[in-house]
Amino acid sequence: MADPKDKNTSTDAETTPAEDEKTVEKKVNVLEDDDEFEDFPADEWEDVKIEHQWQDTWEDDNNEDDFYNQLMNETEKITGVQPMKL
Amino acid sequence: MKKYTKLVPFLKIVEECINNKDGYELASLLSVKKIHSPALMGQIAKSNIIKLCKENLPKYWDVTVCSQLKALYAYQNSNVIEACEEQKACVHAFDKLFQDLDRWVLPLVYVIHSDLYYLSVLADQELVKQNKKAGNLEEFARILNKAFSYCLNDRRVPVTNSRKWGTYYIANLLFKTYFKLKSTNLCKNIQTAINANNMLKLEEFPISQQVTFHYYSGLILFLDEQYREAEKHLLKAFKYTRGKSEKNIMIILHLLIPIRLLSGVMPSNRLLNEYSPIKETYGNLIKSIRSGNVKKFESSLKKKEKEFINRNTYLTIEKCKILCMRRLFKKVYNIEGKPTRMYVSSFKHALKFVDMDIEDDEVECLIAVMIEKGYIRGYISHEKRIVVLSASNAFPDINTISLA
Repeated sequence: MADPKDKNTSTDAETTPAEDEKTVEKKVNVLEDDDEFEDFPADEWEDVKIEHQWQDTWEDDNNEDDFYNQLMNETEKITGVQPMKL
Repeated sequence: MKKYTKLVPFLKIVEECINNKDGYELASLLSVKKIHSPALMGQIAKSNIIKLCKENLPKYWDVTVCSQLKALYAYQNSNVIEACEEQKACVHAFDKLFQDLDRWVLPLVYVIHSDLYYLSVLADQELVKQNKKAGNLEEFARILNKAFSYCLNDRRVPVTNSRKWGTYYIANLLFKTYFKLKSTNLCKNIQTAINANNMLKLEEFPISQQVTFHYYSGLILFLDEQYREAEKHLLKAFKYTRGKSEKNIMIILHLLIPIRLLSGVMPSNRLLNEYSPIKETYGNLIKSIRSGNVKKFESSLKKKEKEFINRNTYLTIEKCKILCMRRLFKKVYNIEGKPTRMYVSSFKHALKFVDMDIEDDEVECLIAVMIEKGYIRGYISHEKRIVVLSASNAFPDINTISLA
């Protein structure tokens, strides 16, 4: 094999064609197509203030939708909304 | 980034990084995804690169780098099986160096191991296609465990330069590997080892590592049905993931929403509107729980059944049916003017209204379960077929009830 010094001076080095790079890049990134938790980009993290993402008091309102009105009619049919006699 | 057209100058730079302890630069030079110039690739393809590496690099570094370059070449030429073998040789050679190195080299440790993870997965897929035995990922798990010990058990003082700083990154990669291998039970060994060790606080590590660690901790607890603990970890992971990775946010929310629903916490409309795929999946379920419409709950669950099974959350979401039913019962209770006594038939009638046509005894049984779980406060008088309810707070807030 050639002497390392020859390697240093060999001139098979050319500038890189741009399209070539794109194809290689595409090929190189096949690794990412997966439904797993991915690595995060290594950049700065700041604390993002997020509000009102969750709601734990949703039962407070009576949620008077169509369903509620129908249910009320149904319930009235059997109880007449009378307090129970005992 | 500077591109090298010849191997020797490239190796000189590698050597310079080693001497300067520049782990970050070294890692970027020795990743299988690094795009080298065609000229340099041409030289890597030639068989004498080991000779050049030996002439230009210290012992063991020569094989580490040479094998890495061969792995890169094979990988970028779509030969994943060979790439995996070469990358393994790279990691083996590096192993001999690792025990004498400290914190600075960790970025390189991360990149060569995470590359080996991906190459093992790809090589195994290829081997399966060829009907051959695929054991690369299993072997990788053993290799990675070694790196994990090197990090965790580094006892040098002061801790500033310790390899201990690599523990969580490697632990996260181990979790990922065990999940891929479906050997999730092994994750506990890692957690135990970390807990038993006089480990640095997780909060002192890079946030990306913290988030991933919280995600896996939450997932492991979730699979163990320890919902409250899982929720804590996943909430922390979620908090920091925002704006970082849409994919990871989705993965976290698909676990967090079922867990939180079960404890009576709903995603707000704001959250649903922010992530439309989440709204698509959970919107109708949430609406039905809100209104107590058990019929609609059933049909919404049915529609998304496959997705939930794939996500391992079907059983958790199915458990929310009792929540929906509780909501229905509470509405009936409100409609009747919050009495302290209610006929079982009132509940039976409401259930019939949502297409659950069941006998009195079954209705009583359902109410008994809710009383036992703390969703309703009171007792049943079986003879009179009535439910005697607590005068105060007969239907307590769901988020105050402990999850069984």
